[in-house]
Amino acid sequence: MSDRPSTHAASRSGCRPRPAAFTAHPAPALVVTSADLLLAGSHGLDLPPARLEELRHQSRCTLAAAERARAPISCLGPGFVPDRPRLYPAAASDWVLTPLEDDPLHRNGRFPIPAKARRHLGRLHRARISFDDVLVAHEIPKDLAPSVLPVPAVGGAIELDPADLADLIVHPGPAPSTRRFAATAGNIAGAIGRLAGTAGKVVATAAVAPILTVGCLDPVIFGIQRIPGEPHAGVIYELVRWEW
Amino acid sequence: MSLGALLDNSVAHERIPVAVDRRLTTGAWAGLALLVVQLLVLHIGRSATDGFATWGIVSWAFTGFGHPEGAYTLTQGVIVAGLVGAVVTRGFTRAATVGHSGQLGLLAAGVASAVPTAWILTVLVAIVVAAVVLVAIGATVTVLMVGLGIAVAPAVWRFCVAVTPVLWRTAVAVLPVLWRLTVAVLPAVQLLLWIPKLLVRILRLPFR
Repeated sequence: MSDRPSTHAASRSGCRPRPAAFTAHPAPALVVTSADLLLAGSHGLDLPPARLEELRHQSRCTLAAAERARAPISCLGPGFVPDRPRLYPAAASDWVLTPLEDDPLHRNGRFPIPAKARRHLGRLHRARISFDDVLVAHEIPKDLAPSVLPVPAVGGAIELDPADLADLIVHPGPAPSTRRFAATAGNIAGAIGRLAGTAGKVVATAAVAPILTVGCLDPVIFGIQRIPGEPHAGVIYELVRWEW
Repeated sequence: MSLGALLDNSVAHERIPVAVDRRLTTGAWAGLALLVVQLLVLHIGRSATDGFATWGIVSWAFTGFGHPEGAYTLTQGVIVAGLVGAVVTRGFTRAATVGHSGQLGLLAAGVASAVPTAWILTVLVAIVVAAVVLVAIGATVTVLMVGLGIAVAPAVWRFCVAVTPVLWRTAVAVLPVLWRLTVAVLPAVQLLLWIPKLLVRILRLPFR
């Protein structure tokens, strides 16, 4: 996945093409993208045509507002939205989908977001585009969940306790670009130090933090616009995604 | 939870600190020390009036390439800024940890310190070359003199040894003769010197 706002292909309505009545489709046993995580849970959501048209209009307005704010997003359509964290096994890695309030990176007040993605979200926020909830999807290594969860993650989605997330969602540490920059700056400083006669006394230390060995976390941020009358459903938008 | 809550509780990933890099902090302090040395060099150049080295690159370095006051003031300002930065960043350690911006500041300080580094190195090289040349010349002359002394001394000694008895015998033979001559001649000489004085006195009498 790349460090860019989502540029999902849009139909005339601005939403991802759907069966006309936004009816459910069977959830695959394993999902490969974070967007599929939410689509996989959308089975059973039946909405009347009038309501669907209303939602289409709403999504068109939202997408247009995002375009005007120079922060394009993509609409994934209406679907069931989990209220609690869930673990979704996938082929190469697993995914944890959690409401923002349960995300441990958010709870400790230092959610790391790349500057470019942060500016994108800032433009969306300043455009006053309303989202009722925010979901975050984290990619975790395949073997991590079975080692920390009391029940091995096999088969379909597993509902998690928020307390489990601290073991699954690990802080990525300093950005790779910052670590590279620090290494370069440190090498230059070391060379100058040697020229200034401090050679032999400058103990070069590693300018980089230990490489994150837990695995990549490729967060995706989803915005949810709740559907009135459907307490567990909403129109889902993919706001931004990046890779650490 | 809204986007505002996400943004309020987030931080730019690039600003997450790296481990404190001692090279960065040491390099920053080394740069500041170089600037202090540069200030001393410029102060010497400003204070010296007579007998100061005026040849080539040493003169340029000590006089700030012809602008001693400007170079001195500029260096003072940079040192003050560096000291303020050191206090603010707790001895440059904080700058080493705060992502790109802090490390960029340290990198800029390192690059800036390359100027006084090159300057001071050039001056040092020039001084060392001059010292080496002077030492080489002095050593050469010393070697020559020592060599000459070593080679000539025996001959000089032998000459002295040989001449001394001759001089002694000559003196012993000649001195008595000179003495008798002096004793004999001296009164006549005194008389000869006294006569003109007498004549002068006689000739001055009518005019008193």
